[in-house]
Amino acid sequence: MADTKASPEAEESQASPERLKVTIDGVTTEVEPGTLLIEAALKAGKYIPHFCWHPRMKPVAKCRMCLVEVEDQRGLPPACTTPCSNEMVVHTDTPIVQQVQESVLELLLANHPLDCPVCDRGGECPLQDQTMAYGPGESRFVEEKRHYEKPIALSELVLLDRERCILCDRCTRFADEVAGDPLIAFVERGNRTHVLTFPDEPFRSYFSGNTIEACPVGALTAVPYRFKARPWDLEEVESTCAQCAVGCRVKLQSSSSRVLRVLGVDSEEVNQGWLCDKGRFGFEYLHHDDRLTAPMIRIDGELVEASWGEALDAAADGIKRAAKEGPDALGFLGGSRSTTESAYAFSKLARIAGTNNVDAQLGDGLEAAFLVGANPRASIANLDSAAAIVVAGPDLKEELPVLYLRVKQAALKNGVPLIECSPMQTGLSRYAAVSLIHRAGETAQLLSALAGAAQREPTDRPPAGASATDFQRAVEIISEACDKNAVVIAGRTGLATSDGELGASATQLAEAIGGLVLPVAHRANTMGALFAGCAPDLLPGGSRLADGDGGSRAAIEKAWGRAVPSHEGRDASGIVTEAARGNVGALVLMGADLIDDFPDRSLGLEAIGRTGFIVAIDIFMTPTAAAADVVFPAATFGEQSGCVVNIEGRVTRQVAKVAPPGSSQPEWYLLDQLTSRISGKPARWTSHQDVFEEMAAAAPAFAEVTRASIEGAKGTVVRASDTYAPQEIEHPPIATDQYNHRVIAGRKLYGDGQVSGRCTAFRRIDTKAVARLNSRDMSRLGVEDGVAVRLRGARADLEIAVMTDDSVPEGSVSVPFNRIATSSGADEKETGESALHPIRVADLIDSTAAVNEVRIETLESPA
Amino acid sequence: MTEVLLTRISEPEAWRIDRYKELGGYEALAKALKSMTPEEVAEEVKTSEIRGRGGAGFPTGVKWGFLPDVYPRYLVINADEGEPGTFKDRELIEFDPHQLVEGTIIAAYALKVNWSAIYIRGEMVLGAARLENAVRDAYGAGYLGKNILGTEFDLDIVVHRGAGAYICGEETALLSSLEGQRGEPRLKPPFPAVEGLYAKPTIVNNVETISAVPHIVNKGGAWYASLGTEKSRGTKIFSLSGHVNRPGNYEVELGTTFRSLIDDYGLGVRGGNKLKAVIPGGASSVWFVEEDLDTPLDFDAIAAAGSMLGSGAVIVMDETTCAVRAAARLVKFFSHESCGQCTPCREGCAWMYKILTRIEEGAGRSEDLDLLLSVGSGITPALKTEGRMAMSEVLPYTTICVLGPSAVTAMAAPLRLFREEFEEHIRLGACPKAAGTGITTQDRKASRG
Amino acid sequence: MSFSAENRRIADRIVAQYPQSESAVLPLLHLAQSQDGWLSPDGMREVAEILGLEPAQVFSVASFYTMYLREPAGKKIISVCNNISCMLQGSDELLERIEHRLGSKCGHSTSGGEVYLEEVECLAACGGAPCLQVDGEYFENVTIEAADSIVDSAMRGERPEGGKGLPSDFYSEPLGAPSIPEGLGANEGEGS
Ligand SMILES: Cc1cc2nc3c(=O)[nH]c(=O)nc-3n(C[C@H](O)[C@H](O)[C@H](O)COP(=O)(O)O)c2cc1C
Ligand code: SF4
Ligand code: FES
Repeated sequence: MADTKASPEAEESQASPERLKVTIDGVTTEVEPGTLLIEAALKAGKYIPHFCWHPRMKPVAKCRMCLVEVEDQRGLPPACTTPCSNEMVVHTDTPIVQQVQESVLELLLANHPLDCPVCDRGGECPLQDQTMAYGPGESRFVEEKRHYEKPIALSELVLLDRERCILCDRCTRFADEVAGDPLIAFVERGNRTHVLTFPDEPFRSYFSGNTIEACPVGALTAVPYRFKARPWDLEEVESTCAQCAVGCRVKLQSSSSRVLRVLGVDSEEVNQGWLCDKGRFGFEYLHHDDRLTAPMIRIDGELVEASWGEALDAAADGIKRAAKEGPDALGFLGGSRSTTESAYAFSKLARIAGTNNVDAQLGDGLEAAFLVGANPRASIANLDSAAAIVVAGPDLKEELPVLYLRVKQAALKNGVPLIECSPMQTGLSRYAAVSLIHRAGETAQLLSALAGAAQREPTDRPPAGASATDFQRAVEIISEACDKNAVVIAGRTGLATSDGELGASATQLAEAIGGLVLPVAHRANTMGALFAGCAPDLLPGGSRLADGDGGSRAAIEKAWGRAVPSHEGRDASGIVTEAARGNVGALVLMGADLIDDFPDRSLGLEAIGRTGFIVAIDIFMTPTAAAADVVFPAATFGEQSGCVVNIEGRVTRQVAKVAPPGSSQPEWYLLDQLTSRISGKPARWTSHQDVFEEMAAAAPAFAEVTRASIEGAKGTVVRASDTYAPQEIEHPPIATDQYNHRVIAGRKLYGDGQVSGRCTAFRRIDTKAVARLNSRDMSRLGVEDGVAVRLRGARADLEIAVMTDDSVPEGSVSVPFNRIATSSGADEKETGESALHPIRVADLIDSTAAVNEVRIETLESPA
Repeated sequence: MTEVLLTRISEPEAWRIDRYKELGGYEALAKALKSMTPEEVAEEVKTSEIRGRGGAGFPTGVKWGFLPDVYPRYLVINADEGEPGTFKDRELIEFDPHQLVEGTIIAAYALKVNWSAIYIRGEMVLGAARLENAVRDAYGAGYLGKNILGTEFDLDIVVHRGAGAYICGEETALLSSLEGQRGEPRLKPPFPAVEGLYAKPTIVNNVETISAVPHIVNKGGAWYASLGTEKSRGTKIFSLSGHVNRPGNYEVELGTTFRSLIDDYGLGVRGGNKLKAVIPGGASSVWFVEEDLDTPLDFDAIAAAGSMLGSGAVIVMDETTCAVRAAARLVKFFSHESCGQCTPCREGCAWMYKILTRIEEGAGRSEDLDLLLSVGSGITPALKTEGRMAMSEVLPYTTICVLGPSAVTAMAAPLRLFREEFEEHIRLGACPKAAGTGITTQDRKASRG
Repeated sequence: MSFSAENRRIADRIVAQYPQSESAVLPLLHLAQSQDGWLSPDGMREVAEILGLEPAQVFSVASFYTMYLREPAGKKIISVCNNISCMLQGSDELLERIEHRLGSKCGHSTSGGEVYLEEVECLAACGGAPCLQVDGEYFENVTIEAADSIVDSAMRGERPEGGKGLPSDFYSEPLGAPSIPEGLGANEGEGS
């Protein structure tokens, strides 16, 4: 053993902290202190072969492929763990280094099967590539190879072939270090080491697919991709994931006009290479037989296929007829699942048809003005170095998984204190310095109280039922973080509470502590649709309709050649409520399913029943579309190009890779046709770029967003022209009935929606809905796990099995919003024919109430 | 024989606290805590110039000096003794556990440590129990816990049992294991003294090293330094095993020769047989032969002769021994005990073992001997193909710790000393030694203790 | 398996001995094994639960170490050293003899479940080679005759004669009990 003191280099580097000069194989380059040799070499254009090193994980130096020689240093240090020091001279191509590389490869191949021709990774395998470049000529290993049972399923999505594994520790490190789900690990030791799960406990991680991409050989393969294609047959484009509003950058790979694989792109700004499994595997719906392929119109009560001309005429006639009754006889819902171009076209159609009743959110988000106007707005990357992070919103792990990873990383790796304000514990609770668990529906009150306390306003007791010590601890943390760029993440905490002033309170808190706000929305392009003006009070560009009399309104009216209606519009809840009263003549729904998406299903059903004319633009025959008068088949993710805007306001491109089925069209196209029929002016657009240019010209906020600036992974960030500045906030008291339970209705990552339900990859994942209750409530009710109870709500009753879960506080009940409560299982999911009947949590919810409560009744036990 | 650590070993029941105290135990502790500052204690240890007895021979006082001024810091005693041929720590623990406990308390005092662990091999069931009991009794007597002997000094000692992994003797693997992880060695730097247990400064010392501390405090560092040779001070316990007439642990002043150890203490090679080879410092060391026996038992002299003193395990092999079989057995051991992190060690040791087994079983090929050396050079690229092997050839190595290189030594040292025997083995397709070993049917003289 | 109330108390004391609870993985696994005679998946799961770890993490650690028996074994365990010093003194022949007398191979238990026989690495008793352990008790300088009688006793479920002692000969504390007496530990840790 040769203990030595801290190396003298370390001291030297402190002397000149700016840049270090490193010479690698004669090429000199300058790097930041802390740069690893392997990174410096990449910068200098010198590739040092490696297997275990991954730029996004802690280096472990296990494979020993990257050993180099450093002048004046003994031994063969691994480039993957050796930090650069000033004036370091490194050799990566000496005879001894080459000998090491050759023998490491020979040793790795000794027990590796020769099954490249049937391996999914063949053709894109680092082991194969490096063997060509640095490997020995032929194998001298004549002994019997190590044998393992052929591929074993680590989970529903990932297979492991242990014979191919080179034990680089990437998948296991990823699971532990990045995902926080250490469900796979090395077992046994030495030559018998292999990767495994605990018996009967699969690798059920929302991020499991990343391990496949990180694997440097073909040991890990995806169930959905296995044997589907050879890498050289794949064509790819870079695009943006459409599963949630994080907007992860992806590579979309296809062959013969079918999307076969989605891979992550390492964008420092957004996803750092990671994807959640829903984003990675949730594309199979694209090619599902249920896709709509032709327009349909209702004739004698039946929906029948029609030509595009007939359908467009029918839709335009219906809208025009209703428009005669005045602006409030029209309602336009949707856009958050579309490209921004299509959302813009939708917003424009509404206005041309004469109404401001347009909303991209379906009563499940926050105030549009807050979402687009939050200021100063945080970027995702701001989280890394925030002085503190306050999360007041949904369970990020379930709804915005890759944002969850970033927050977790900030907390765990960078030590950023995390304050969670949530009605129940979430995936982040383990990493939180404080979890302020409080009564559902009172998050805004809590944020205002924190803001007050940060400004030393006396509070008598913590609001919303949060614990006093936790509250105090949170106040200490945010006080410490004042004026140091703390970030407040704010989003809807659930679908059973209105969370009315949450945006305002979050803004108030951020202001009080001199921090930033990161508003979060659920659907992929909610932000883009709002920026495109799909909100009753916003114009394209995000400026306020009421204040927009200056530049923006004028610019828009000039672009459209038409006045923008000035009456105050209704939001989704307003439109649906009026429709349910029979006051709406025509509803135009674009990727908006009132029956499955709207939090208050009784109201949604009522609205559909009582609206005279409905146009549905969608990709499947959703329950709502089935009730429509005209149905248009739309192109979707991977089939159309355009831009999307993520939670930060970052605009990036989605790119078409395959053709949409049948005669489906991009939405902007058919909306332009409709607009033309309504306005009497010719249609204007022949490509999404035409739409983009008109939008950029009409909306000042998009002025800096040029087509060039949104190319690439980084995209560009759009700022709203009006910043959000809440007035006095009032929190009306909420009465609680102590015999009732407050409902927490969050979404789970895997639901029974139109899209997930049609991905075979997710078919075997259990999505049974259960109601979760605190163990004390369970024993008070005298029920055990798995027993069905009746939840009596304001709107309906729901029979559902219960499960003990102490992450739910006493007095609350947690139910998954996006799962079918009485799902009979696979058959239904397979066909996706959920008809009108399966009971959903949305049946319980009264969207007009600030909070929803249920009474829980035990059922007669069946004999 | 100069017995310092082994003085009490033949005393009946010296493991009991009352017996130990009767024999002068815990006097050093009182002396250290009541009349010396921690710095003074550390200084005595430095003056003694004792070098670590765990294998690497690093000067203990110097190592202690590396601790940065960071607290908490930890002291961990390495009682994982697993190096084949080594059995000194087990006897020290079984027969004189309080000596180790007292040494640990004094060392902790000197190092300003308040929590210490003794990591003992799980297989040493009796030793662990004796040690645990000694610790309990030391608490009872006020030598552990709060305000030891009425001073401000607090210390807890936890006896932590391993569970069957030789690699946990490597100090950083030991720390991983003590943290509840797989026993995988860590990259150095950082060294444990800077970032050890729970990423805090940690001193890891061997049982024998720490057992010497009470004596150094009692009689002074200068006294200890007066024993042994100039660069290898004090006494050292050598574990003598294999083909000698009287195997056992012998504590001698450093500087005694191998010949003296084998002939005077071990009473010579069994049955008057001729000596074939000696493994001088545990399974990881380069083999010696007859002509090396006058080398003194001294860290530097053994190094100069091409091997190492290591843990003090001296394994004697007489002329009946099959070199192929011995090499295969040693490499099997290293392959079995490789943690598996490093490609060259994980794959290379197993490959070497497979080739050696094939040769031993009679299926060797003429190219196998060069192949063995070539596979070895994947771990130690400077490995030569001819002549007697020297320890220096294992530098540089391609692995994280020296277990991998040890396996290369265990293969290459005998192969290069006895290459003809290997070749004959291949040619005959069988072992040329008629009777490799043979179990005796009568009880041999039991070793000491 | 599930820890007995007494063992659960011991488990809590073991955890409290360490500055960080994860350090208790090995001792708790020993405790689980001493209770059940082997380390079952349930045992690992319980240890994981006590320490707030995933079972996979505990499995990963447990399987690294050879002393944890991950399958039920015979009632008595004979562990024969096969390393160099013992080999030089005939441990291979000894092992063969024992296999023959037991009628079962190394790495297996006898058909009646009486004895499990294993090969182990150096037991640090090379001065008394060849050596073996029966349930952790050392037997040194084992001759063929001695081996036969060890096997016979073990098959009868008895403790063989001639061993070097077991903790139970001297102490009453259960195996695996913490070394810090109850109530005396300061549990010096990170935070303190
Ligand atoms: C593979 C390997 C096994 C080792 N085994 C032991 C051991 O069983 N006991 C021991 O004290 N040191 C062992 N060591 C040495 C330790 O790493 C460390 O140097 C020693 O415990 C330090 O104590 P000392 O300075 O008192 O010698 C081993 C080293 C290696 C590389
Ligand atoms: S050399 Fe072998 S034992 Fe040492 S760390 Fe590497 S793999 Fe593990
Ligand atoms: S990349 Fe450096 S050791 Fe694997």
